Amino acid sequence: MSAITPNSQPGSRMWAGEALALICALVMLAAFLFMPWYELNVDEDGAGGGMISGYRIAADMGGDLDLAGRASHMFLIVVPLAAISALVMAGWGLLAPQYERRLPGLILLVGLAAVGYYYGAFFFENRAQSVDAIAFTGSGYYVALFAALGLIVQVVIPRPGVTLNVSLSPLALPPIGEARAWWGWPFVWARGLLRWLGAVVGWLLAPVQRALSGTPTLAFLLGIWAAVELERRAADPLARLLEFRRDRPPGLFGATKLLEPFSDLDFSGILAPFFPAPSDNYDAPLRSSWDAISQLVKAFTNAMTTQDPRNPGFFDVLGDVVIYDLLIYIIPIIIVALLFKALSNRLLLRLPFWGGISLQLIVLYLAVDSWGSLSDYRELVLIYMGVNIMLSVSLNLVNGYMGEFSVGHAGFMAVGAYVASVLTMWLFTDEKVFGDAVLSVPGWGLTIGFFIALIAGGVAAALAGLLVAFPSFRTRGDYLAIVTLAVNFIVTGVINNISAVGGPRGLNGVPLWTDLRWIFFMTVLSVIAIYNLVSSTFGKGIIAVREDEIAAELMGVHTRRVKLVAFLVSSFIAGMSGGLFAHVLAYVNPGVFGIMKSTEALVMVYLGGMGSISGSVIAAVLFTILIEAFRPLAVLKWVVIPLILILLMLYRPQGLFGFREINLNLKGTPESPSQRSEKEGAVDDAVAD
Amino acid sequence: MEFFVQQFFNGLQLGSLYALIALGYTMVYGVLLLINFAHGDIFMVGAFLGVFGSMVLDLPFALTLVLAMVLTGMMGVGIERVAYKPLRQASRLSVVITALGVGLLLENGMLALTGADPRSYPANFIETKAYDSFLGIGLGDVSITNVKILIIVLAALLFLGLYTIVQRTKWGMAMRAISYDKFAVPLMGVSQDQVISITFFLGTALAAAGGILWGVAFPVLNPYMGLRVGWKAFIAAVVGGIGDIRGAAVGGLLLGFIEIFVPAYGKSIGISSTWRDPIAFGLLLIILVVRPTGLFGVARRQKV
Repeated sequence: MSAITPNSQPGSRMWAGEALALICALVMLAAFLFMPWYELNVDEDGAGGGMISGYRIAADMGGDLDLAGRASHMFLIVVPLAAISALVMAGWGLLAPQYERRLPGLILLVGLAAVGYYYGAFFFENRAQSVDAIAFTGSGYYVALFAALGLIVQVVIPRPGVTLNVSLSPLALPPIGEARAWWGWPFVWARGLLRWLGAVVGWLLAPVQRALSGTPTLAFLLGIWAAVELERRAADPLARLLEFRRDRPPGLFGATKLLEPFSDLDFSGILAPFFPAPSDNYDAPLRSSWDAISQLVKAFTNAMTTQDPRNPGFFDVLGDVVIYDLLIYIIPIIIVALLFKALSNRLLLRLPFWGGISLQLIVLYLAVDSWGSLSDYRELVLIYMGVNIMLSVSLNLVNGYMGEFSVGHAGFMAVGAYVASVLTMWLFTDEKVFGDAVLSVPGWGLTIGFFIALIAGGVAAALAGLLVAFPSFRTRGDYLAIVTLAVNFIVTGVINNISAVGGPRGLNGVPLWTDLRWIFFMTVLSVIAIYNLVSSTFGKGIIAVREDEIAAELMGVHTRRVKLVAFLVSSFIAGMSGGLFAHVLAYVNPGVFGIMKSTEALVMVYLGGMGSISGSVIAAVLFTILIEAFRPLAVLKWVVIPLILILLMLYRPQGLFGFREINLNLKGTPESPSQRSEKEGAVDDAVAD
Repeated sequence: MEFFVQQFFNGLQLGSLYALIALGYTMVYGVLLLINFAHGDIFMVGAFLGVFGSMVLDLPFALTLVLAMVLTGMMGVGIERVAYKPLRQASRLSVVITALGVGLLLENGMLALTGADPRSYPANFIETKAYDSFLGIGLGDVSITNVKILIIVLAALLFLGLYTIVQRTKWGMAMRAISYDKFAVPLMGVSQDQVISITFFLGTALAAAGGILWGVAFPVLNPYMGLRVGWKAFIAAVVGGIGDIRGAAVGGLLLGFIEIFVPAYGKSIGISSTWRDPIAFGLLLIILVVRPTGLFGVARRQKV
């Protein structure tokens, strides 16, 4: 933690930073009051046209504006407010230097707010239908924008006696003697700047983080539930206010909406001239490829900045989505979590462990159910999430905890999917493939029947797992990887050849029985089962096999039994996830369970980190959302996902949470005397400063 | 008999192609202990560069082959430098995952950048001719084309060339040395990076040759063509004993023969040709269970 070096004489009261802040604030005020903002063309003949200052617009704004229009003019109030607060703060900094430690951050915040509102003004502009044809002309915008940027810059200007928790200022030099090419410097500066911004953001978020520390998971779950309930009620009006496309609330936290503008981009022209199909005819490949690139750039900038109300651009949507997520999710979750922190801590400490766990699961289910009830699409995404969680957690047992490299996990899923679907179709439903139902059972019997079918699918998958488990006694590593791969090929190949289940055409008419309740129940069951398995004594044996098989054998671990059980359990759960998957699609096809599906499972496991169940769960959730969010990008989806994977492996090879679990705080935290004294210590420090 | 000869040549053709691709897998594995899962997609890029050479530059077959091999080899070296080299100290699995990612990136990037139209080589690239007689023996109904002969001969030549390089040259000695003990080699003053680069160059160049020959034999090129072929060649390499180049050749030929003969003769005992994949992979599974390190592989003795 080195102090930023002072650049003015010690003892001087007038600092460059404060001076600049003052000037910037004054310029902003002046720009707001006197510079032209709008060119209003009220009439055709020019009456009422001309330049009007922002101040006058603010003063003239009557009650004839609708709500959206009013929202769009909010910035007119924020600009002078930002200027005045910057003024006050800069003055305060000059007069009372003992508070200066807090000032740079605050002024930065003000500057950022001002910049944010200028951007907002850009984009709200075209929506204010009530004031006709407002053209964005005012030079005042730019003057005030630069003033706001100046406010931000002044924070970077070093001041005497200021210590920030930053080890590298943007212009810090590396140690003398470190050779560096001239082109390396911008990277050093960029990294310094990023670190600096990170430190400032961290400093601003520190109070929230401090307040949230020791909050049990239950409180967060309650917060999420409350946020989702809030969304159910407030989403539609808010979406209308923000003028989302078709006025519908975003499905996946706005992720899909953000990427929708790019759905029309077509990259295929770039290299196609170099690899012509027989029918193509390119005279000059280089030129036509260049044309394609320039068109693409045009389309891209258009997608970023367009303000077409029907197809809004990226920046346009970005603001809306951030506002939506902040208002609906982030802020309510934090508030509710803080409100219920003490209460849920006390409650969890009273309850027995399993009581606490089930309470949290109930709240989680309520939240998830309520989130999914908003649209069918959300429910489908949740079901995929559950299937993916089961898949990645079960694969993690073999690849992460036992250290083998199984690359054919989708094969077991296929076995489970087919066996379960054949059972439910043959026994319980009337359809074309197997004829009428063999058993006629009442409604509750179907539930049990479905459960039994799922279990049967899992058992069949476990039997297929034996194909891998037995070779694993003799082979390890790459050779076992090939065995799993071969099993995947064999399973899909065999299914392709059984005409009774449709062969390559697939099996149609699987009953649609998987719903949110089923998937939630099975997912929770599998995760708990695997968690208990790996944390049991037997599970320690699994980890011992990973670390050193021979040593484990010497220490009395029955390695064959360990491998057998691990493969059986893993393929059993994969089979059950396959059964659930089949009963949500209503259609299974051997092509679905090919190498791509296995690769997806691998990506999830290594994204989350080997040997981490919470990592696998989070990775499965993130991956599902990612896959769905990238849907508008079509082919590019599978370009972006491997890129993420490669970058992850290059910069964080252990995955997000390699070999450790997230500390979830499921049991609640008592406020211990030591913590209390720590808090007081922190207060003392602050006073001493 | 005629039927057998016909199927034998078909199997030899397919097996030679698998062998060419499997060689790249096995060389990289021998030096780096890395399963280069991107290899199948490098094969695809080689085939596409063949389209570039033949359609855009109007080069004849031999020059197209050389051009594609050189360009693809350079690409392989580049991939190693960018994606695998930073991970040389990391765990082996993270390199394998990176390789998977590179493979996905290549095939989907190709699809995104070039579009989905299937490609093929121009008609005058190699004009298929069927021979009436072979070495003075009348062929009857057996169809042996110049394409088949070209593929088999070229694959054999490339294999022999590679074998000579690995066994007779100093660089080949360095490669074998690295696969024997990668810590001692740099101490002897041999640059590990250079040896790895050369290995990648040779392996990917062979994949490119395989790609072009594949495109000549089965003239539909698309960005996903490397997926199945790559996995199968990988299996061939493992069956032969990964890390041993003779093993790759034998494994490739074996896989080719199985894939051709199973449907050819299975039809008479009621096995349709769609059982080809399950039976081929089942046989490979059995071979692996009986000889867990493949046909030519030597079990690395584990010291306790």
